[in-house]
Amino acid sequence: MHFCVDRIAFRDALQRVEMAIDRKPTRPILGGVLVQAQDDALILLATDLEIAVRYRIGDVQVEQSGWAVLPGKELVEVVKDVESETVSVQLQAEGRCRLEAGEDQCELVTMESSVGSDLDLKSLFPEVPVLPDQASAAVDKATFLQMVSSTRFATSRVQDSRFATEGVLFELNGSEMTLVGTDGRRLACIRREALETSGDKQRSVLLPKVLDQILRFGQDEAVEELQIYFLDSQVGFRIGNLESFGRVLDGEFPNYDNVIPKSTKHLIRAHREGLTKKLRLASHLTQDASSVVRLQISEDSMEVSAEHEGRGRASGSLEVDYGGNGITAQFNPNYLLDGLKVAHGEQVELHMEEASRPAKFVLGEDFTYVVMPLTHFP
Amino acid sequence: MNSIQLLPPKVVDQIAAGEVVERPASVIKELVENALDAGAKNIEVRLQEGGLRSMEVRDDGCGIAAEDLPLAVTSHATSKLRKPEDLDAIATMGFRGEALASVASVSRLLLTSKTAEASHASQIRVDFGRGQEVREVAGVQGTRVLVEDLFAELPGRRKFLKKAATELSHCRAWVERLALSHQGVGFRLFHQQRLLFEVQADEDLDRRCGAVFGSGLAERMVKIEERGTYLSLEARVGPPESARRDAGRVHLYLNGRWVRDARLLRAVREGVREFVESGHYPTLYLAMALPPERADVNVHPQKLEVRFRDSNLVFASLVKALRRGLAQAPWATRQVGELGSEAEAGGRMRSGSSSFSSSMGTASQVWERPLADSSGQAAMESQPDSAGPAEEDRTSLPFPPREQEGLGPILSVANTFLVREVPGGMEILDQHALHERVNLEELRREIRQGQVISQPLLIPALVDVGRQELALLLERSETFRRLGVEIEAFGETTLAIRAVPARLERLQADKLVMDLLDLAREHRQASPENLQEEALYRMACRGAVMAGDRLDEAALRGLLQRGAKLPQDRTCAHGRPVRVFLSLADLEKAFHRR
Repeated sequence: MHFCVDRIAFRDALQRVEMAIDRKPTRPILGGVLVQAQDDALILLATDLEIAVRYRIGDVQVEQSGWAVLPGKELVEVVKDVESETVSVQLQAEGRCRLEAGEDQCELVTMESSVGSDLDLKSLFPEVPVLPDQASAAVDKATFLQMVSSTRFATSRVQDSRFATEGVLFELNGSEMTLVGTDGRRLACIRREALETSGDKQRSVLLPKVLDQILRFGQDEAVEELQIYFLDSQVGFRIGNLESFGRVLDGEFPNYDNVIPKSTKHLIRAHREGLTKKLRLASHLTQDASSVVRLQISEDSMEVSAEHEGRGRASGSLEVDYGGNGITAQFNPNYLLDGLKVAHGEQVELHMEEASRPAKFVLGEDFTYVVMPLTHFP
Repeated sequence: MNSIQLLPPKVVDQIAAGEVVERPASVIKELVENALDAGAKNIEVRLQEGGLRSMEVRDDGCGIAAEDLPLAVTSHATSKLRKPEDLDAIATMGFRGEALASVASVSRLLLTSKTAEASHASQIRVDFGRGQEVREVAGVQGTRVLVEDLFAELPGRRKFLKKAATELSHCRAWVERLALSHQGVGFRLFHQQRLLFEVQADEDLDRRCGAVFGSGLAERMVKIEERGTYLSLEARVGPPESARRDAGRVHLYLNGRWVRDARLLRAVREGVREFVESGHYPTLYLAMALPPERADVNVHPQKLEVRFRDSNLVFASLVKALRRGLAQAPWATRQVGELGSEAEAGGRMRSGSSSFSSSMGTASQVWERPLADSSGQAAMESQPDSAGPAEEDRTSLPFPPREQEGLGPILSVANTFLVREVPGGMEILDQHALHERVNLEELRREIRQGQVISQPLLIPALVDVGRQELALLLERSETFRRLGVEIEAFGETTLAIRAVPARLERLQADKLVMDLLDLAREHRQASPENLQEEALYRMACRGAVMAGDRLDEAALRGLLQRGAKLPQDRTCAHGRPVRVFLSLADLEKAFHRR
C-alpha cells in the first residue's frame, strides 16, 4: 500500500472515525483504524462493535493499492500534528508503515496489513456492512439532525431492565418518521416527513452513540440529503462520504402515545426566550439535584420561583397568553430548560390538565415534550 | 464478706458448671478478678514464658485469714455468695467459688496471704489438687498467688497451649481489659522481669486508654457519656482509621465486667455504621451500668456472655448513644495511616456527652428506678427525640469551617477519585462515597422536614416480582411513600413504581425494587422508622454516581459544593471514607524534605 493524500482531508476523515475507535479494546484490533487504498480513493474504517464509522476520501493518489490496520489513537494524533500540505503513506516490510509529511516523518507499527499476510482481511477486522443501493428512507439532512437533537437529550442515562430507554425510538410509517426519547420522567416526540421511503414499516431503538456521531459530523458533509438503512440488527446512515452504523437496541420501548396527553384544560403561550431567562434565574437557587421551580400561572402572567432552605429565594415573572383560572405546578427546572434549548420557534405552548398530571409542551411544529410535574410527600 | 464458707448445695446446682481454666490467660483473669474483689489498690502480674512456666499475681487487698486458706482452694468455696437470691444481684467479679480450686487442681499453686489483723502471713501449697498443711511465713498484707507448671500433669490439655508469645498476648489482653475498667487500681504486668504494661492507681480513663491503645490514638478518641435513670454508659471511640476487621479492640463492660456478646457487638456495629467501614469494628471502650438484677451474667462459664431483661431497650440505647456521640466527632477528614502523624498530634478530643433523657439522672440515681420489662420499650419510644439518630444535633455542630468550594482545579483520577488543593495540603475524594453521603444527608433533611420531593413517573416502571414478594412490598408501601417512592400492584406478580425521589436522578427501578424487597424481608419485624432508615442507606447508594462514571467539570464542582454543606461527610453511608487529607507536612515527609 502506498498513497499520497491531502493532510487536512486525511485529518478530518480520521476525526470522523475516531469516535468508533475502541478506547479500551477487548481485542487489540478494535483499537485500530483500517486504512484501505484502492481506485484513487482512501477508505477509513473503525469500529468498537457498538458503532462503526466508514469514511471515504476521493481523489487520492494511490501508487499501490492495499490495506493496513494502524494504531488508531496514534494515527489520529500524528496526522493532526505533522506540518505539510500532503501526507505520503507507505507500507514497509516487517510490519511497519511510514508516514512522510514534508520535513516530518513517522513510522507506525501496523497491527495487520496486506504486506506479508496471506490472511483474508475479513477474518482479521470485524465486518461492517456495505450499504445497499436502495435506502430504507431518504430525508432532508438538516431536518433529521434537528429531529435527533430534539429527542436525544431526553433519553435515559441509566439502563432500564424493561425498556430500552437509553436509546431513541425511530418509527417509519409510510413517509412519516417519528423519533421519541424518554427517561420515564419526561418524553420528547417529534414527527417529520421523509423525502422518499422504501415503503416498509420500521420500528427500532437507535443507540445514542451513533446519533451523537452524526450530530457532531453530519453538518460538515456538503450534502442536503441523508439516507437511512435498516440492516440486520443495525442501522446505517449515509451522509455524503460519511457512513455511520449503530447497533439496534434490544428491548421494548414504552408506548409513548399513551403518555402524551390528548386533551387540554389550560393552554398557556409564552415567549421562549423570556421563559428560559426566568427559569435560569430561579434555578440559580436550586443547583443541586433537588431542583424545584414553581410555575404560578395567572390570567396574563407567569411567576417562576424557587426556594432553597440554605440559600434563599428567587422569582421572576413574565407575560403569558392564557386567560384562564390560576394554576400552579412544580417542575425540575433542568427538564424544562433542556426542552427550551431545543425548541424551534419563538413561542412555546404549555398544555395542562391539572398540577399533578403530565404537562405537555409544544416546542415546535409536531414537536411535543411531556414533563411530569413534581409532588411532595407525604 | 471475708470469711469463707461452703455454698449450700442449692446454690451449687444453680451455678452453671463449666471449665474455668483453659490457658494461662484464664488463670490471670481469675486471679486478678479475685484481687479486685479483695479490694486491692495495686495489682502486679509477673509471667515467665508467657505464663506457661509460672504466673504470679500479687495484690494489696484484704487478704485471707490463715484458717480460711484450705477452704479457699476448695470447690464452690467463696466469700461472695451466701444464698440463692444473691445470684440475682451479682456485684463482684467472681462468685462461683471455683476459680482457685480449679487452678489448684491443674497446677502447682502457692497461696500466700495476710490480713490486716494477722501478725504474720500464711501459706498453703497445692500440687495438682493435693493440698498440704498451712504454714506460717513472713509477708505483707494482701495475697500472692504463684501458679507454676500449668497442665504439667495433664498432657492432653498442655498440648493445646500455644507458644509463649501467643499466651503472653492473651494474658496481656486480660490485664488491659481489667485495667481499663478499674479506675483507682494500679496495674503492672511483667514478663521475664521486663515491665510490659503499667497504669497507676490514680490514672483516669483517658490515660488508661492511652496505655492500652497508644497515646496518639487515645487523644483522638471521642468521649461519650450518657447518664440515664435505667442505663448509664461511658465510651471512648477511636477514629475510623483505627477500625479493624476483628473485634480485638472492642472492650465492652457491663457493670465493670468485660463481656463479649455477639448481640452487643452487633449493636456496636449498628451504632458506628456510618463512621466505620462495614465489616469492621471500631477501637472502642464502652462501659455500661445497669441494675445488676436486670442482666444475667451467669450464662457462660467464663462469664463473657450476658442476657438482658430488656434487651431491646439496652441495644437501642447503645446504638443511639454511639450515633449521637459520633455525630459530634472532630475527625474532619481522614488521615492517611503512615503519614498522618503530623495532623494526629494536632487532633483534639471533644466531649460528646449529652443527656439521654429529659429526666436526667446522676450517677447515684442510676439504680433507683428500674423499669418494668414491658414498659422498657415504651419508655424508650416516648422520649422526645427517639425517632432518628440525633438529627437535631447534626445541623448545628461545631465543625471546622470548610474552605470555600469552587476554587482551584479539580483532577479526576480514573473517573473515581477527585484530587484538589485545600488550605494546608491536598485532599483526595471518592466520588461515589461523596455522592452517596450527599444523597443520604439531603434525603434525611427532606424527610425531617416532612417533605420529600418526589418525581412521579410518566411511564411507571414495572418490575416482575413473586406473588408473596409483591404482598410483602405492598404491606410496607406507606413507609416507602414517605421516602418519595410510590408503589402499587400491577397485576398479580408485577409491581409498578409510580414515583421516585426527585433527587435520585440515576435511580434504576429494578434495583430499587430489589433493595426494597431485601429490606422488607430482612426487617420483617422492624418499625417503620427503622425500615425507613435502612431504605435511606440503600437509596443513597443506588442514586449515587459510581466509581468510573465520567463526570464533567460542572458536575464535579456541583458535587463538591453539595458536599461542603453537609453536617457529616467523612464517610459514606457504609462507613467507607469520603475524603483523605494529606497535609503539606505529610507531603514534605514523603519527599524527604523534612
